[in-house]
Amino acid sequence: MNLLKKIEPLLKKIEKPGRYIGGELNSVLKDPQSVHTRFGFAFPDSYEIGMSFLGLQILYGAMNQEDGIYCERVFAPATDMEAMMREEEIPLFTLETKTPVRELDFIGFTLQYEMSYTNILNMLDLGGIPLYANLRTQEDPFVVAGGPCAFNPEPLADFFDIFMIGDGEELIVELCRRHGEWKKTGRTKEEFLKSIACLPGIYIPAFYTPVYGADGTLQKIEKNWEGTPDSIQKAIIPKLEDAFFPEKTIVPFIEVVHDRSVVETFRGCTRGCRFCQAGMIYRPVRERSKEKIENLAKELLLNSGHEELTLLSLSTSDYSRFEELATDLMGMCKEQNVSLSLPSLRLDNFSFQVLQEIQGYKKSGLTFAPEAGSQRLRNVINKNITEADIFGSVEKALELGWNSIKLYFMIGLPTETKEDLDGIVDIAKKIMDLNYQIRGRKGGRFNVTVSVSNFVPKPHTPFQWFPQNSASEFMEKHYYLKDRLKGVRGVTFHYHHAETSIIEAVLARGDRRLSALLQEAWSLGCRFDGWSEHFRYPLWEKAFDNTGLSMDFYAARTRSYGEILPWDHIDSAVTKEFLIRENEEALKEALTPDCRLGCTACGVNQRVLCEMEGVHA
Amino acid sequence: MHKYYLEFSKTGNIRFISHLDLLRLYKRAFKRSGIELVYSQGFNPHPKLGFAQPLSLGYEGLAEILEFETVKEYSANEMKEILNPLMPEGIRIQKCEALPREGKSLAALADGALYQISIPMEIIGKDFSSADFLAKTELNVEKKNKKKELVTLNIRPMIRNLKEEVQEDFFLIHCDLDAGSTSNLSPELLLQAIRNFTGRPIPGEEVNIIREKIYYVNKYQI
Repeated sequence: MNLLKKIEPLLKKIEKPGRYIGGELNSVLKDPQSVHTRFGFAFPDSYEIGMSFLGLQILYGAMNQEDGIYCERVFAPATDMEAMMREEEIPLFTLETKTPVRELDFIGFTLQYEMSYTNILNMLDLGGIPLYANLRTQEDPFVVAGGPCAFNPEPLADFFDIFMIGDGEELIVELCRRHGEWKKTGRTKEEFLKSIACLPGIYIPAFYTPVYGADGTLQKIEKNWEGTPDSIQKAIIPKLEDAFFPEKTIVPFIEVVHDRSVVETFRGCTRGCRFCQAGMIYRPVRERSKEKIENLAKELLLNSGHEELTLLSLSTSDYSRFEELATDLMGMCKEQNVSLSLPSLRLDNFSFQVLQEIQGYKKSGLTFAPEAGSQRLRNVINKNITEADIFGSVEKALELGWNSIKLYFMIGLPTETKEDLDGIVDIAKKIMDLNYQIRGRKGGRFNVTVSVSNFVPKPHTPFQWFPQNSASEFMEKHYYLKDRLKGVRGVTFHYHHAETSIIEAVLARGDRRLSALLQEAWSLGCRFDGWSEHFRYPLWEKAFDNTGLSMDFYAARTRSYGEILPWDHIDSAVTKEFLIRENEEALKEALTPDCRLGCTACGVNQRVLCEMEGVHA
Repeated sequence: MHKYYLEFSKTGNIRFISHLDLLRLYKRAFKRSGIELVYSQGFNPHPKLGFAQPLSLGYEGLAEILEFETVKEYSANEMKEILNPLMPEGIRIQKCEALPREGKSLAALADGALYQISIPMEIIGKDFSSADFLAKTELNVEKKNKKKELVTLNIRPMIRNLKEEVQEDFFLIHCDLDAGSTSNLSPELLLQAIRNFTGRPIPGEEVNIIREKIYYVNKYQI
């Protein structure tokens, strides 16, 4: 069924109708009758955010290059569109062919951040698909998910048939191929689930039942079917060089958050910051060759007409041939009137040269992420940046004419004290002083922005056992900093909403009982919780009350090493021993070196070759 | 430097992208085509291209105009052949011609436009007569000025011509309106005057607006 005729009249009444029309450059049109598997790639947020996400472009391309698979896109409609769709009884549809999502074989959500979870429920509901997996019939699509938050899938477990853990570009295609074969047999959906349960990266939540003790903690995770694995290994693509990467990406008509060509240079990170989930779950580091990256950049620009190119990875300058790559790309971009942007550069001499070259007169701000205000606390979190590094770079930046410095910190980190907060203020002050020293009292416009975010302990990190600060502790710290930074001229202070961070922490380390909480929060009206204008904390509080669940149990409780954690059966390839060891080192304020300097025995090389292991030893 | 213009149509669902979106679309199409545009000088160089008149989001256009400057000389027809395959569904380049090098931009010369406003019969009713409507010496509507204050504006002097036509279930209004930098009448305001005149609500989503042609000062022809 094509809903176009029903959708068209709405387009004149809503904001930004360009979000819903499809037909963008490099979007794919196929005859749905010609494929065995129709997949709806669902991004549980607005079009503008979803279309800026590289993972969508990779998986869309990987699926659509297969003749038997048709992948289309689905986004969360904005609230004005949602209201009208409900009024006119128009179900959630795909952008490409305006097909109701319930007619597809799969609807696959990407789990990029916890605060998008209520949007998932809303989208299923708009699609006319029963929320709970066990209420769906043989005719309903399989509801599947992947992405970083799938490393703790439990809060969403009741709603999903299948989770994909780890690298997705091969696994998702394999899933669709097997679906095509299963379809020919005419067997039941359950038989399909059984047939894929042992694929690395596949987690079928219905095959497991968590059992809780009297104190509310997990006692065990029981298997409901013999054939399902005890633990789910994440899918790993051993060599990124051979993995699919799109040469043509969809180019939106309307302005989206990031409108540019993106090449992923490598996956993973060797630095081992102890709070960072991405640094743990994307191990090991796997690089694309410089030649491949340059070719991809060329093709992407040619096929999109983009005016901006950027590189994506966790720590851009860690790429092993970074200087050569950056030099080549700068040359290529200059020739083509394309601007190059290089995020998360480590600020050494070469980076300054690069920034001078690519930013010239229109210097954007320089950003530093010391994350913590004192050397002691930076040792705790294993963030290997010193004040000497920061001030050295700031001095250089001032000499070269930068007028704005941004500093990112986290508050509520393990072992944090008042001194650590004072350290944040000191760094900002010292940077202002440096400006006066170098440029004089009347040295012109210069400002420092201090942004603090609230620490959210994440699963699969060394800090996964750690209690989060309460909302009132966070707020006290916000006021403390605000008060002290107020007196420093030229400093702007930003901080994140404390209550959002608490809910994020609950969902990040939650167990399966949270499915009921999510369902309740959604039915009370929670949507777009990641948007401060839509986030409604009182509704969440009410949802906790109505379901009898405790926020503190999930967010503010210290877990012991012995406790079974809801995500223990999800194997990130980093061992629990490593995480415990790292947590202990943190408490000793001891640094663990970058694993390029020598293996730190996280366990990932037991599964797959670790290219960067000890390369600088 | 070589100046050209394109005449193109914008119809179907692509009418739901804004004129800034369309400008970006053309910039990207030129990049993909290999036709090198002239860039402005200065700290923030941008390619020299622009519409004779921006078209509002939601309107269709039958003869929209984009002017641009290229580094090399091209045969106009060749450019049309190169660019058309790069256009999305709904954008069709009808012709491409060279522009005399000197003189003002088409945007500065544009001063009027021909619109077709189509309203379902049951919405507008039977008693609208263009002769009676035009006979009014004052057609006052309310409009927000730059300070966002509501001001009353007489739009009658900005209506150059207006004819009606009945086509099956639709009432068509063909009108020449001021559309330029010195005087500009948005069809939205004309619609507001029609609402006042007929006393009917005429919801915006029931109305289809097509711009058929753009006129230039002193009957300049391109």
